[in-house]
Amino acid sequence: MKIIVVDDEPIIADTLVNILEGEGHDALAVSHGESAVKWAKLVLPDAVISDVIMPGMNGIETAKAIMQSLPKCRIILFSGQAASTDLLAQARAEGYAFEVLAKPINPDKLLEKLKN
Amino acid sequence: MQKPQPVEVWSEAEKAQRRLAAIIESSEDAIASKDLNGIITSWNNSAERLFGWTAKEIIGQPVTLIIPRELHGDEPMILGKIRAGERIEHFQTVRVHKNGRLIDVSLTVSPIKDEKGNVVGAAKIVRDITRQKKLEEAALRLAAIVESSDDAIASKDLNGIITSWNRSAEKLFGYKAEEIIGKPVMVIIPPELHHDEDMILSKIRRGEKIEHFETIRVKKDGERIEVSLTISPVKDGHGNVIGAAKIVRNITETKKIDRALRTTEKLAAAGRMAATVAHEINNPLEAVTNLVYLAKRDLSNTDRVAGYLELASRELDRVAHITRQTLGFYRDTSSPVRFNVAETIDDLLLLYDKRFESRRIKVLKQYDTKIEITALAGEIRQAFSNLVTNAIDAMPNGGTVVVKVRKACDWSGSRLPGVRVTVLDTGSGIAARHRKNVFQPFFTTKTDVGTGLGLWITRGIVEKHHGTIRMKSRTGEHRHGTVFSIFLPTEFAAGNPRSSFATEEAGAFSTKGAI
Repeated sequence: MKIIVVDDEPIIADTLVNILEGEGHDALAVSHGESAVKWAKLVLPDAVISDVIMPGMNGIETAKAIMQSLPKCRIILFSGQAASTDLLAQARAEGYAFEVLAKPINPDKLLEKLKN
Repeated sequence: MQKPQPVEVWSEAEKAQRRLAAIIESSEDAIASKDLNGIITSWNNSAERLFGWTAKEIIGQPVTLIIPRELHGDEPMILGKIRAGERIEHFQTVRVHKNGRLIDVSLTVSPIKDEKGNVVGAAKIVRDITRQKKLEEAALRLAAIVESSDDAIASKDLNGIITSWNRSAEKLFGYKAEEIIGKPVMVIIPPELHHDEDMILSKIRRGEKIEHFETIRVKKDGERIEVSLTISPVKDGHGNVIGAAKIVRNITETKKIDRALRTTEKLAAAGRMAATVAHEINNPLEAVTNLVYLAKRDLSNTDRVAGYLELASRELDRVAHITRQTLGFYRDTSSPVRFNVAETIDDLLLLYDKRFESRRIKVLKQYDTKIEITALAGEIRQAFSNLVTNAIDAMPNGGTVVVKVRKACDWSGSRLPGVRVTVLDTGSGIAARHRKNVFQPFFTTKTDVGTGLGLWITRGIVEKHHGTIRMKSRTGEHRHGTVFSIFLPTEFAAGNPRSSFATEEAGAFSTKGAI
């Protein structure tokens, strides 16, 4: 699977990419929503795993932008803070239903999720 | 041989008459006389002053000249009584000045009799009571204001005996005026606060006013209410304190709202803390979880495992840092040392050189390089560093930081010698609605990078050193920016820190002005 991992904390994006690559996925780490949208157009990923609260474009805006060009791409959001629930409620009101996983995520569970 | 006695008799009579005339002329009351037809026959100096007519003008004129038209009917009544030999005393009425102005007067009219005892006229003494009337009206007006006030207003004498009690006081305390006037004020003071009354009375005796004294009072039914008292001494005409007037405002509801607000604020702080802690702890945990997974996966490759563990330990330090800060364990355990303030700040600024450069931030230094203080160097460095990083974060698109180190005295009374360190940025400024919160824990406007602890910790450090911290900010289109100013005393004094910090709307300041 081609996967883009977005997190403003490089250590999180990098370790996730390392884990995904170990399972045979083709993964790419970026640290801004803007670059995720750009790369998504180039590599046409099967899935995007993104943090929610980030400077600049947040995870939900990033997800919406990617879904517009890649409707089939799977979006998995993950977040460490409660502030993201407000953003999600707002997205739901606009008709977007995103699944958000809470940090820290057990890597085995994340891999399991990608298989389904 | 007859002695010229009659001449002497006449001169005695003449003397007496002259004496009388002199008394009448110098009397402060207007004195006039009229005949039984109401024609004025005499008119003293005070009458001239009071009515504006000279004796020359008015003698021979009817007395109705000085009586308002609508009261002309009174005159036959007065003359009737006089004819009957009666005296009229302190008759309050209105007379009219030559210029038409009405005068409140009190009249005393006595019949004048000839040697045979026939009434031939009337002498009247007219006293101007306009001022007295005005005072009476003012007193009535004041009484009406007091009576209709929404605040409870009462007065007491210097023995604490209640002497007046308005309607709002009746409503607030449940006692009617007639049942409480004459009673000691202690009946509305809770027993454990009776000593307050001694303090209040002694202040009042000294002529001092007590303003917005918040305390507890007891209603007739025993319910306790929170009140704000303003008590003023009541003085007599000679300036002697004869009692006290108090205004009692029921603040029970206000207090309840205050407490609710404080709880809300605490909840908000707790909410901010939860969000911050969640972010600051869950992110490192996410990284550590991944690193542990990778270490297990790559167990045979010791180099890799060592790298993962190194990263994991750094992330764990981050968690430790946030818990130390939030739980208040950020302490410099070393003892205070003497150090040069400008040098310390210069070393610190060096650490941020790369960030200044990448943000295109110009740094201007204005140091008094000789100032040394004794303080907990690590904590002070932390405090300065928080201000510098805030300034950097406030200017993502470049700007100027001005750092000043100056000799100074404490602003707030103690006049302790020390140093003032000022860090000014030309960022967009702090919105007015946020200014009062900047020193609150977990308050941040930097949702991406802030923990909301920097200024809170800084304030804690400054107060521990018995210093003060102030903030000014402007968000104008042309003049904007924020300046933090810390005062630290030269000598380190252990003991309880005091809480004295202030935020205020900036006066006009700009980088130009500041440099």
